[in-house]
Amino acid sequence: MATNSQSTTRVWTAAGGPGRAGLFPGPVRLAPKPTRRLVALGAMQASVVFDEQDRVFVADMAGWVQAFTQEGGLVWQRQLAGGVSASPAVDVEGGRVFIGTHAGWVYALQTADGAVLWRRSLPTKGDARILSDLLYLPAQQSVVLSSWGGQFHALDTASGETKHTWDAGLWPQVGASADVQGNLYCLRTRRGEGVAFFRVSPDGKETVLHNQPESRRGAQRMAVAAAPVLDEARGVVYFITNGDRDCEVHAWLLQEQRHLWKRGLPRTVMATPALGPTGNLLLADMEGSIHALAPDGASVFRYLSGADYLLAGPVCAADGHAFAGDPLGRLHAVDSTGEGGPVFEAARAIQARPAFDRRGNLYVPSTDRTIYVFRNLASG
Amino acid sequence: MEWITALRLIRELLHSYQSSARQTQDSKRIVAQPGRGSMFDLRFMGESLDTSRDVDFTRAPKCPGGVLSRRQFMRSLAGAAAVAAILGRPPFVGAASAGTQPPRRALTSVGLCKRYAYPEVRRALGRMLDELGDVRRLVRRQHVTVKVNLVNTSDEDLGGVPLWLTVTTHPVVAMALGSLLVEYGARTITFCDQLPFRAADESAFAGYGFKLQEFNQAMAGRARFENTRHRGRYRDYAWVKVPEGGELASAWEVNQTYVKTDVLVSLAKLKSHVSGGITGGMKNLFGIPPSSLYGDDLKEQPDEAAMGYRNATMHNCDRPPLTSASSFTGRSVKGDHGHNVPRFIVDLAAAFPIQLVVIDGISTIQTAEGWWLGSMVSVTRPGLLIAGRNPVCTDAVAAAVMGFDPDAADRTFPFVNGSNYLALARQRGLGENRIKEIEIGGVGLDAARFEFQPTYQRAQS
Repeated sequence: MATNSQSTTRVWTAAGGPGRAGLFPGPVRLAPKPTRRLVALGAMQASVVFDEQDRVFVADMAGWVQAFTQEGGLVWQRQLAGGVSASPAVDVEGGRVFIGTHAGWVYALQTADGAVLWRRSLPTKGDARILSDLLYLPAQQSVVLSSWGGQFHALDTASGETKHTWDAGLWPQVGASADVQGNLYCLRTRRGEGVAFFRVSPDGKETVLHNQPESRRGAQRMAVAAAPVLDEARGVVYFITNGDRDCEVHAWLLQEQRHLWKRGLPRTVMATPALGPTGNLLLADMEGSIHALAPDGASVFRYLSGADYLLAGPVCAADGHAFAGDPLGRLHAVDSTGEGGPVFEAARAIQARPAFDRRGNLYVPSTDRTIYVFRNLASG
Repeated sequence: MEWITALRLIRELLHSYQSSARQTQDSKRIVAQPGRGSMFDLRFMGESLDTSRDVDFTRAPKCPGGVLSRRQFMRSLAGAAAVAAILGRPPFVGAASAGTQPPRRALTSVGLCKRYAYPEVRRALGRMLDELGDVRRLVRRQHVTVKVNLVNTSDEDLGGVPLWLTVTTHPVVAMALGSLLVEYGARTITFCDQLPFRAADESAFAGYGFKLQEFNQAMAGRARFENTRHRGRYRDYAWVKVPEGGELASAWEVNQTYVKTDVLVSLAKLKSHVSGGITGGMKNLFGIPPSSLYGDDLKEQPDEAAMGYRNATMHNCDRPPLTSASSFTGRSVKGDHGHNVPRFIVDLAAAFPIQLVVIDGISTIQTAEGWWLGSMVSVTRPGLLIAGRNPVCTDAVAAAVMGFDPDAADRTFPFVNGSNYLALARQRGLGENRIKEIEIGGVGLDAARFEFQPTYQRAQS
């Protein structure tokens, strides 16, 4: 799976890295304490992203974007119109970082110095906020996102002009994922229809792959918040449909275009899942548990974090160790059997997914306006 | 001559009030409050009229805004109109005495608290109340009413996450607060809100996690639960007028729980609010007007069995409440929630002076106020408690903690769908909303700041 030319490397240019799978391909052994702290200017609800110069891009709820060196030095900072909770996306070759704000503005900033290359506001009669993690498609030279105006937008990366739009349903907040052909996989809810999982081809053609009927409380209550996750090595895309209180996890075969399996979980899932190295799917639910499901849908383990709920998705290393933050500010490390526990506690909640840089150092954003950086001792 | 006439009218009104209070005392079980002073300290043209020599309120129930029977309320309307005509201003230009009114500007304390563990919450809250300085004196030997924020059903959740972690006041915060107030010497703590259940009050509260037995264990048996959706255990409602006349409501007809108290506490949830911008200690008072008189499920008569919300009367304003006398001014704008809700908030806060605000911001939702707004709301975890003696100051600090300017212009975030109720409240003299003018204690604003996603902006037609 690769969504752009640099995604074959270890650089996570979008939330969750390639395929949004949250899987780091190398060994990871984290230092017991953070080795660095990057200071944000607002609470962090977005993941950090990187470029190949090892710059770290941090966007916060106060609307500040900052670039740091790998050593923690501030390269530049810029305040945008509106706070940010959607994770940015980076175009490594073009030297651009794309950011969407709560005020409905999309920015393209130069990664070297933060200069504004272009910005545009999304059209809407009401609330244009952008909550969906952004996605950059190099082959199409598009940046893809959705807004509360009710549309997905594919914007031209050179100008910000709209190339095409498609319906995002009620309260869109989930990012799209893409396969190597540039097909997009998206979710939306509609009144009277429930949740649709659908594909948008590079030419804009939309194909609905699965419909989950409305729950008892109606489509408006079927929050769609976790992005689809692609496991192209196994030819599977995973997606989640939330019901009133529970959810169903779906495995969809990309080639055969059919369901592989679906499995119910007792509580909703709002965070994008992660893939383990053996194809296990790791899900953080709104009851405070991390579930591991095998590639055939069987339960591998359930880890209880002790938190009331989990708002941020996990990430995983090549040895099967998963890492997830909780609303009490704790970072949990869980091995491939489900054994583990908290290894660190921040001052306030962790509501954003951690991210690995290309050396396997882990960046954990917290709402205490700090990004805690844990060095990967296995990287030498 | 005008002065003499005006003073006569005022004296008549005060005697009406006295009669009302005594009548209420006769017909109800009223807790005596020896040593308490007068309700009103009227000031006209720089002169003070101390009514305590004329009126004996020492055994009367305390009503922060001024309690009246329906008859007295009607008479007061006529008298007020006459005085206003003579003086060119409303008659009740003074407010309640210092004992019943919160200070206009007061320290607000902000504390960090990650989890709803009783000892942890109680410890954090205790530090904050101590910092406020006069809470012990405020509640000592007093009957305290705590208006909690339990909204209009307990049969809901947010994607499986319970209401108390998202929408409503968490019972642990209520219990910790009650326990502290009892430790400070409060005689009784009555937790109240209107709940859409016909079950006994204890059962109705249990659905929100409020278990009376547990509360009484923590509060030495001094906890009470009152469902105020109707007149409840009282034979009559109380009329509470809005000092200086309200903008949209000149008085409120309410369950007497809000009247028969010495101290009114607002225990709110820190949330966004689509019509109000934020919901804090002042917006919490929206739950006071009872469904039985203001509810959406009323037909043509008041109904003690009613349980509906107050959308038609206090949001859309497309029909008046079925109160025993007309008290809405008619200056609402039909269908404009952003105009009506902020003004009703202020009219409620003026009539029911909150003497202590505590805001539960440990675990909540952002963007909007409840599950009924669907998947637009999302769970967030500020890990905060906020407390203050003045509700305008306290709500202003809450807005600032959420990343908003509490003095923002109307129709800008967070008041994006209407008027800034905090600015309206300052203009009415209820408190201060400009953050630079407010003293903030505890961890301070900078350490407490936890930006919320902005309030949902309604589509423009």
